[in-house]
Amino acid sequence: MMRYLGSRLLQSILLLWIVSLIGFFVLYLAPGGPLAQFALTPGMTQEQLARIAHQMGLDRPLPVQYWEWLSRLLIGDWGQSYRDSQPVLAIIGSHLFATLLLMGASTLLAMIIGTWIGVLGAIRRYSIFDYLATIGAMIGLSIPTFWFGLIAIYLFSVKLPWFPAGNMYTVGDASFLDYAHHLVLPCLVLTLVTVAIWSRYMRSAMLDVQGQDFIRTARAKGLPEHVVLRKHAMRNAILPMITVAGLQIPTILSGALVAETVFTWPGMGRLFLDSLNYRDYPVVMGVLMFSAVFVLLGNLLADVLYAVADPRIRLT
Amino acid sequence: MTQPILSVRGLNVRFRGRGGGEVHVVRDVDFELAAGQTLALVGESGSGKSVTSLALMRLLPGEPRCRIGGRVLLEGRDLLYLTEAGMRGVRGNEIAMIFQEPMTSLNPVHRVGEQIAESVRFHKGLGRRDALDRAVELLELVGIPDPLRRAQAFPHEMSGGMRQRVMIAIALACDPKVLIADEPTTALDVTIQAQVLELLRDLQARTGMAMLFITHNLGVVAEIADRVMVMYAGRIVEQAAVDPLFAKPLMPYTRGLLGAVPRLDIFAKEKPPLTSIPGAVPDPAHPPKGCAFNPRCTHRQGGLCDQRTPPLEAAQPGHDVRCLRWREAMEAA
Repeated sequence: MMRYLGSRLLQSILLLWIVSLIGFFVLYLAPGGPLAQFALTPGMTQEQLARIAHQMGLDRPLPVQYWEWLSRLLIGDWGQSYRDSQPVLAIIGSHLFATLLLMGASTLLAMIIGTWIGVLGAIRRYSIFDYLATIGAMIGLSIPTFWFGLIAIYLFSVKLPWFPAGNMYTVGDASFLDYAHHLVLPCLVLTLVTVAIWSRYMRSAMLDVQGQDFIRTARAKGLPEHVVLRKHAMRNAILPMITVAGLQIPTILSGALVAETVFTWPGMGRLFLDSLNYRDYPVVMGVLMFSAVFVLLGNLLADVLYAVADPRIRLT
Repeated sequence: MTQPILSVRGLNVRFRGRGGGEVHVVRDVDFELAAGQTLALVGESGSGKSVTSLALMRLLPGEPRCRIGGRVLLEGRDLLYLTEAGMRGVRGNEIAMIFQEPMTSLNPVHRVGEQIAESVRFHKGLGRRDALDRAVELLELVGIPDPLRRAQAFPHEMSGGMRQRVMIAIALACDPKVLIADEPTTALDVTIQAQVLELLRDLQARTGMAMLFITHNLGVVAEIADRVMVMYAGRIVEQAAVDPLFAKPLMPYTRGLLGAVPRLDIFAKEKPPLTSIPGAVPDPAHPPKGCAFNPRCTHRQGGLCDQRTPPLEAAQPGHDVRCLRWREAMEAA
């Protein structure tokens, strides 16, 4: 187990390095660059631009810049935002809570609802409920998030003024209820999509398990149906779901780009988009590396959980 | 025969297809089973053996997909009229079942001790601790060495033979009156097969349970059964005690089955040729006219066998046969 974790950790470090390399160089290949915003300032001369570039260290060869950035990253200095000179880590930290709140709530909700829709759909296969759930999931998967978000805002905050259209809290009122009130619409939109995915996976996992011989054995023992279902069927159906959940973990921390933008939610997704628009490369790279770490951690966690939940699997 | 424990009368099973058509897979099956007795149910794949056994346990899908008719009397109670909760009290408790595939019939994520114990907990109301003790006892009973440690094992840590012993332990957990064994040795190595048969016979002698043994292996039948019931296309086509059936099979299908068994006779100058039965079991949705076996029968008489459906007749006391020409077979033998 320790050896397994050790080798996975080494692999992860290598992967992170490759991610940083690709991210860094692709970003600098993109047109515009950090100087573009200064170039638009009226009265800006070439000499002044060159001086700014020199100050920011942008006139040095790219590999040198990369080495500088990477070696600082390793000692915990993730650089400073071009936009407001704040340390990148502090900026990420200030957006993390918003994302965690939104994504945590919607993911938790989606997993619970999705699991039950999937299980019920599998038990009552080809029933009216199953058909409705299937159609619902297809709709949920096909509607683009931004469109559904806008419709939700139009219906529930413009036509019916039930919920705020954006932001995380009302300035001056940061009570729990106020947060919850702001959370409803974006959470609804994100939950819909995740429920659709989760219920589909759960249904097929459940159908797969229900046809297994050991389910017949459990019934032949005379166990009540709810025990057969929970202890024998669901316990096995949940195994493949661990992988799906592992893929979900990074999005909990890196946020939902589209939904956060539509609902002006101050999370990581919106931070990433804003930083890209401002060519705020240190922040973009910071968010990128941060997400990459959690993608790898999520996968590792899923593998470890899988080994814990399935006695047949040993990590070596 | 002594008072039967299990008595099946006119059992019929019909499945409804997705298109709405009905398929009649078990037709008018009658049999009785007494304590300590072993009845073998023999036939090719698709003859209705397994469906018959699952129907007794009411483990087939419910209506409207599957309709079961007739009577299944367990000590006088008709199981087909029990409530679902009442039936759960019978399953695993009064009638237990073991299956063909020990590799997949155990739940991979639970320890084998727990899989045995849960049945005892539900039927006998034992506590967790006592039920686990009982599970260890049962593992010892079915001949698993070091049962205390083995109770903690997961199914994948055991061999096929060991797993089938665990399945037997699960089945015996509540001292059932009837054990249904659905091809319990088919998936095992020959040497392991013999051990498992030996174990079942030994356990039956100790507990006096009745056994319904489903198999297509006639060697196994000779080894373990008192009586044999041959099924074809959902019907019983011949039934008798083991010796007369093997000595004097009257139904051409039974003869075909016996001819298809390889003999271990290494000293024979000329080995008898292995015969096979041409063709395949008829599609239950479109049974042939007349005797269901007639398209494959070597003794078919045109104009008779493909016209009339033979009844099950007593050729001798205790030896029933469903063939229009059994008298000729009787004279020839």
